[in-house]
Amino acid sequence: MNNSSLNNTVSPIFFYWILAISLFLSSVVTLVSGDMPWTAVWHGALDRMQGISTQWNPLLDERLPRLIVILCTGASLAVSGAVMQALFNNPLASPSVLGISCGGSLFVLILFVLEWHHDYPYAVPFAAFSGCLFVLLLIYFLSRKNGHVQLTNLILTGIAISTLLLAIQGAITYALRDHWQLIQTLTEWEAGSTADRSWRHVHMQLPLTLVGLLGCWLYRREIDILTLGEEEAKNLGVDVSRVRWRLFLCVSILTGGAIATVGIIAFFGLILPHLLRKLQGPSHLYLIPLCILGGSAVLTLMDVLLRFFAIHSFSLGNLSAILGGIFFIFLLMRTPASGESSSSSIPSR
Amino acid sequence: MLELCAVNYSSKKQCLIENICLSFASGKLYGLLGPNGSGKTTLLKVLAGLWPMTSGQIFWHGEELLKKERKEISRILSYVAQSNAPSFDFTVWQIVSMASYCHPGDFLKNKCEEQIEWALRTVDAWHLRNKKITQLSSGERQRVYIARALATGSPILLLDEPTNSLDIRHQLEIWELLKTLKNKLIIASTHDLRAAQHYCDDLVLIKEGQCVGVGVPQTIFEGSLINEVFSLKAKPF
Repeated sequence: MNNSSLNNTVSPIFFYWILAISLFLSSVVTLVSGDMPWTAVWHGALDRMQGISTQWNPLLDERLPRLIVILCTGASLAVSGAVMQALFNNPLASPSVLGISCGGSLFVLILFVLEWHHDYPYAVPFAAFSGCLFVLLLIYFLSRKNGHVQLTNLILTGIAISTLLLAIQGAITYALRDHWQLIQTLTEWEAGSTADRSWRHVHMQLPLTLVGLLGCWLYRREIDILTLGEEEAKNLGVDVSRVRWRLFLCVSILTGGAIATVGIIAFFGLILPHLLRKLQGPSHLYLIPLCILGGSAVLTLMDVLLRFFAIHSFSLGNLSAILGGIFFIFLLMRTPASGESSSSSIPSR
Repeated sequence: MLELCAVNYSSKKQCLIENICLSFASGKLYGLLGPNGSGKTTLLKVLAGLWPMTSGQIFWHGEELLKKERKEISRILSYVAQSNAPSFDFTVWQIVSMASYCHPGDFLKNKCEEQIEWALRTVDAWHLRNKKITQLSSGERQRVYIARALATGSPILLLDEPTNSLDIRHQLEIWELLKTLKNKLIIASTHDLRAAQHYCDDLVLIKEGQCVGVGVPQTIFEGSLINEVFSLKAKPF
């Protein structure tokens, strides 16, 4: 590609460095901060690794898996948001805005209610993935008219389906309000919490994240072309239905993995890709690696801040939803009334 | 040679293209004429394989075109839509370089940049290469999309009202350009009867989804067919 094509945007190398440094620093803080003295933690970890000790170690058994889960979740949500914005040809799409996360969370909720998560813990990511895929397809087919995904239909379908799914979730939790333990588990999970994450959660999420990210990366050129719309993509030689199905699967795998391990982190998949695209440009050759780095870095940073300021009443999901909600309103206010198309506005089609 | 055999297209039980049989020769510029809603865009989209025809066959040099892989079809024909409203801020260079997608990998290394530069210079859009596509006027965007169609290097160009949003200078330049592309088969729909008469080698008249006349411009404009198609009481000029 001609270098001149990127003159309008800042060099991606600059962002890679900024995000990599932020990621490194916040990861180090996540690993070293805690109640126990660092030297004791470190020596305990060394002993465990050399086989001298079998004692529980906060670094190996708590902080490291927690960090991996946060990195996977941040990268998954940011990349799935970027891909959905391209697939729906709409810079305001994201798994939570369109209610896809609600699908995953309803399926997981049902699993919790049936108490299958005790006997089959790996059914949780499968349920989340199935729920996300089911709702994604439902929204896609309901909002399509004459071969196009119409924006008004898309948003309204997303609102209708997420309202319906939330109502079902509400009805289930209301019916089970006397089951204190279950309600507590559900509340913690729905709030998007990273507390008490173990290697079991890493085993659940890491393979899904790697598969999903690899899938999106392999289709980066097709994703670029799909932002022009289905007909244009077909015209340029993209096998639209095959690529779209595979990307739907990747998005569902990424979102499902994040929901299964951390819960709902609303708006994260909307804001980050949107900002990175504004700063660096829409090419997914750069946007996907930047979303991986940026998503991991920002979510780790948010987690560090929550712990640093000891804000125990807030979870990651709460913080993301509040910041994202404000940003979303700001974006909607900037949308031109005429329906004129621009990268920060709702497309007119 | 591009051949259409009994091509039909229906949508919502309404027949939009009815039993069209046509032959298009390479190296010629064809004008597709007809009133609004006659089926010009539909025919071009069906030809490009963007909309699946209900029945019929399309042959390119004796081989069935739409049975080929999508990338191969895109190497054979390029379609330029009447209007495009992109949602993302790709630069003009990035948009035109998407033309290389349908080509194998070695094309990217060797010829891609040369071909994109040639295509952009040909439509007088080289100076726009670093601009964002969302910031261009509809006329400038149209030239960029024509450049992308040229950059694919496909032997067939299907243009849906290519001069629709252009100023008179660029309208004339595009028609002159199409005229100079001697090695390509070009089918351009238009409402500009004067330009069609002046620049096209052959004209195809479409009315209510049916082909009602084919011939050189002189024959088409001499008879009364053009008046019937457009429901005109007097000769257009």
